[in-house]
Amino acid sequence: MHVPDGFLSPAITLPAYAISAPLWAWAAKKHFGHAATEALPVIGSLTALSFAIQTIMIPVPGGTSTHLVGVTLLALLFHPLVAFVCESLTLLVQALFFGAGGITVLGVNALAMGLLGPLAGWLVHRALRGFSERWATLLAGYAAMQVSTLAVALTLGLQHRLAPGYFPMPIEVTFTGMMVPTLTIAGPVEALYTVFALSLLRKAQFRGIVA
Amino acid sequence: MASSPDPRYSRVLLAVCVVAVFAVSGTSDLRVLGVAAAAAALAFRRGIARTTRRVLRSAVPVTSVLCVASWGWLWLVTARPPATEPFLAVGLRTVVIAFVTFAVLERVDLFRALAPWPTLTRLLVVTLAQIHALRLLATESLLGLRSRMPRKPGAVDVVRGAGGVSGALFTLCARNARDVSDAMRSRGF
Amino acid sequence: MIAVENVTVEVGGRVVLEDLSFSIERGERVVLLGVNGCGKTTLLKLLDGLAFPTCGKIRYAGEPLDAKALDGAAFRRRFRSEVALLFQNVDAMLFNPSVADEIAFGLRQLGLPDVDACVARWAEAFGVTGFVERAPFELSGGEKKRVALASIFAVGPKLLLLDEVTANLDPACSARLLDFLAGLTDVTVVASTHNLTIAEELGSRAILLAPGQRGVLFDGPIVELLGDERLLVASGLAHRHVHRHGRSQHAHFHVHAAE
Repeated sequence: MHVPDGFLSPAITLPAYAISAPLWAWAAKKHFGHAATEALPVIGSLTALSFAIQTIMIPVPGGTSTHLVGVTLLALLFHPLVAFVCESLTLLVQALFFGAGGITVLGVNALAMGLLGPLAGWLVHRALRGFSERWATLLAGYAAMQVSTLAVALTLGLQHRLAPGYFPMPIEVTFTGMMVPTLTIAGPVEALYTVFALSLLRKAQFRGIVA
Repeated sequence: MASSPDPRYSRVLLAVCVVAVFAVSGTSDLRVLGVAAAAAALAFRRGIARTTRRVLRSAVPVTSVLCVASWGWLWLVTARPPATEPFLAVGLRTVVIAFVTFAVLERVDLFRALAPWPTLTRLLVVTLAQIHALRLLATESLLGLRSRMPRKPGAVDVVRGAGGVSGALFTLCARNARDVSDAMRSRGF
Repeated sequence: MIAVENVTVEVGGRVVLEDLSFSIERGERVVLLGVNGCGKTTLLKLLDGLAFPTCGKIRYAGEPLDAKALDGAAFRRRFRSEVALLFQNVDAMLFNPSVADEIAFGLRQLGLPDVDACVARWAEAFGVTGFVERAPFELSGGEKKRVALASIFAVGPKLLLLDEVTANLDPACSARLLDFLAGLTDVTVVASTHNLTIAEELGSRAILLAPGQRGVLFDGPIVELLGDERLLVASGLAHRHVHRHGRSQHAHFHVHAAE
């Protein structure tokens, strides 16, 4: 779940930008090459892909729906830093062109959802793939969602701790409100999607897209 | 044909917007937020109804639910009703930031404003162009699934279908990346 | 079999189809003609119950075809087993890991017997036996189209809705497909195209749509429509073409064949 604008003060959002910005530059240079004619189309296409995956709504019991995220898939197919760049750009495009908000909190959301979550998933996959590729992928997808959401929940908790008068929502509420749906719905959905998609895509040669 | 906003005006407005939303994000004083809300409503009164509707759809639901749940929880835990001002401040802050962001984005031509940064502009153009094609395929695929299933697709059906259509999405993505790259080189980029 | 009654469709404030009325009887071969943007794909999606009119009604076998009806398990199952739509963008329909699984998908969903035999038969019929184990998304545009066709034919639909069926097919493939469609019995076909050169092979009755046009421009024998130069030019499917040869010039009626 994204943090909306207005929930976090500059005391948190500005340092998040300060951490993200150099990481974006480094990740883009490392994985997408120096030539703009190579880098721009690939970043643009993969970001569009991430965006498209996130438009797929999954019906869940209760008449509501959740949406796929897809960053773990990018992390496992290419690299967590590729997922970081693409998810960050997706968040920017959503904020600027699709009214999905999140200008001040872009750095926080990018770090939580674009870096920490996919990185956790990637590490889980690397640790477990020797035992079972399928289970490694499933748990990677699940773990990535939990870590992303946990990062957001803890950041909100930190904001509450730093200034309860600014953000009065206690961690018990934000943590429960965010983690319960992720543990029970969003996490399993993303895990299943990652398994289905990866088993299909591993057969094809997509790794050549990215350096 | 309506003319695009002047690029310099757009850039100034965008810069003011960024400063304003960060400034608003730094305060929890209800009076200051009230003044900010009034100033925003006055500055962006043209189309205020439409912008307000967007804010109500996007920023208000999640904020309201969390505020009510938190207020209720704190009352339960502390056995006395908590102060409402901080909750009102959070709500007003998210509404003001969302309102200003939407209002400014409606008034600027982003691509012309970002023209001094051609790499970023091109990246956004390439991305948006690809988004249209890929998003259409992603949403059409759900129709394709519904069309071929004798029962309503459940969560697992849609997830499995999404996994399947990811192959087509990635293929299209890879082909588009190659085509754009070739086109950029062909045109002397 | 299926009836459209005063149907209007608005999307995002724009009228896509306005006040359409027609009915299609069992066994008919209908060609939906019109230029891009006239609403052919929207109409086919309405007939497949994937979208619903803003005003008006659609009936399938006498029963209303609406969201409420499709919520009913029995009607939905019957409808989905009897009606099949070939999407213009076939990528949207292919979501199984192999061609064999793709063809078997509908059969398994309906719990029909002899799945493997059916898959083999329809793979053979559409010339995709050579790559049944490959993933559909790896195939060429024409191969994907053939897999999609095999997949929808495998369930034995009674009403076939085909959106630009020969798009992305080479002439030989198109010809084979048109022959195959002509040889079908006991199937009602509604096929959309903007290609007049194959229209007569797709069906005997034409329904002509035009962007911004209320109702249908024409509904009748296709030979009559193809002979009406004025109407074809008015609908955008043909135009008057001026040639110059040295000092002389002449104009003639021109139909574009290629996609």
